[in-house]
Amino acid sequence: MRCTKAREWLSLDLDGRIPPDKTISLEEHLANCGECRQYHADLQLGSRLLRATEPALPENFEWRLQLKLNQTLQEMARQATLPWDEPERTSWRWLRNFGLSAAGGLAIAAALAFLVVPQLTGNGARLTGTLDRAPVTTYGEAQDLTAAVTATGDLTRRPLIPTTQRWNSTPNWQSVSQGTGIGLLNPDRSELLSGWSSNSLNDLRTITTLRDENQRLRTRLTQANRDLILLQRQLDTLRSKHVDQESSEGGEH
Amino acid sequence: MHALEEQFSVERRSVPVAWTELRDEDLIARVQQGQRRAFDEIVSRYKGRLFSFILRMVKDPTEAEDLTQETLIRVYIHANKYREIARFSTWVFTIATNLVRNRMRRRARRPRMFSLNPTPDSDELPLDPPDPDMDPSRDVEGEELGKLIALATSKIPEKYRTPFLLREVNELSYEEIQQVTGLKLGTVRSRINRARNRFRQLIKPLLKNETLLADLERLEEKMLSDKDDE
Repeated sequence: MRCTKAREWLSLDLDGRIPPDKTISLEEHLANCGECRQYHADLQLGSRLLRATEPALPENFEWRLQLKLNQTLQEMARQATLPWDEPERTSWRWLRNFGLSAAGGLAIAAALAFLVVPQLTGNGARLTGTLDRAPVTTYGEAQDLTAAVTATGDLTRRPLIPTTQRWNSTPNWQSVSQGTGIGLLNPDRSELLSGWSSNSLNDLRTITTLRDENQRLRTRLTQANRDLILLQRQLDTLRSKHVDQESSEGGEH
Repeated sequence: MHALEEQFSVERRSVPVAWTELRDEDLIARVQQGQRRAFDEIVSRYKGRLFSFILRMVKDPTEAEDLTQETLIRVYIHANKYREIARFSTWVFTIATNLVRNRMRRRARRPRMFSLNPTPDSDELPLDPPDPDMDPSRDVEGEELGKLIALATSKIPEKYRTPFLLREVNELSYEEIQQVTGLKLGTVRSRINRARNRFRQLIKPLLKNETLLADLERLEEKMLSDKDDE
């Protein structure tokens, strides 16, 4: 065995990794080679020197670490974006989603219009069947809001326009578009609503505004109820204290 | 029987956890559950090993302390990412190695500072042996020896130094070093061998110095007695 190879095996031997079949030949080499024996001893001494001279940490290391950790966690908490903290971004996201959905809805509406409009002047039965499957085709006929509501389902249960107050503002376009069709989603986009009267649009805006107002008032009412309960408890506490005081004063007399 | 079992389980619940007896993997599991005390125990176990490794890599104590803190902070923040597929020590040293590597790369990109020292700094020069007449009592806790070993280690090229220190000082297995560094097993083996060879060349003058060898023995005795005290 050559010395270069023997020294490789010595390095492995230090880590307990020498293959068993090489042990004997290595031992034979070491028996005959003084330099490799010295090399072996030097490797072992080198390991001892490294382990014995490990540098020491400064004494306040852990204290500084905890401080830095707390600062890092505070910074992370500050940077964390909560959905209700960013209404602008929420409304942009809504706008983008609305844009995509509007484009899709427009395409569907245009395709259906090509199919259905020629038949409006024709067979009524066919029109009914078409209405059942594609509510959007009623817009051409519905001249008042009542008819539109009947045709498209219960608008009071489903939101028409996502409000900026809702942080989970990605609307359930599926449920909305199934019932209402894309045209109802934004009454301002009147070019989508051919056949609608301006009165209907105004009524729709009013409904939306009233619904939002309703939600706000409901929230305020819930809060007021909670405050009332707290005040009642405080009043009860004060009453019982007053009664105790009176009875103790009466006892003294 | 049912009442006994219930009583036993209540008693077991009320026994405080002996943190020092838990494995590293159990500790990190508790950190994942939000137990900050478990993290304190991890810090206690790893701060020395990490600092020792990082200091010998970056050579600057302030930077080494900073990187050690950064490693431990990342362990805490990303505790949920640890899975018991590998040993916890492997995961910790992977974080440390990556941080060190990034810091060294950033350092290498800085413009070179030209030294005013006319003597070129060569990796091939062995260390100057210390004064054999030096009074050993002046050597505080083997400080002189520590500085010489640190200097020798710093002269080992970085690509050899990383697996060398992970093996020698932190006692990671070859397979763990393979995971930490991303090197092949054969490469790990050969780099450790080369680093040992280089280190031996650098400390050759020390190996015959009786004073420093006496220092070594004193340090080892102190380490053993400190361990017994714990």
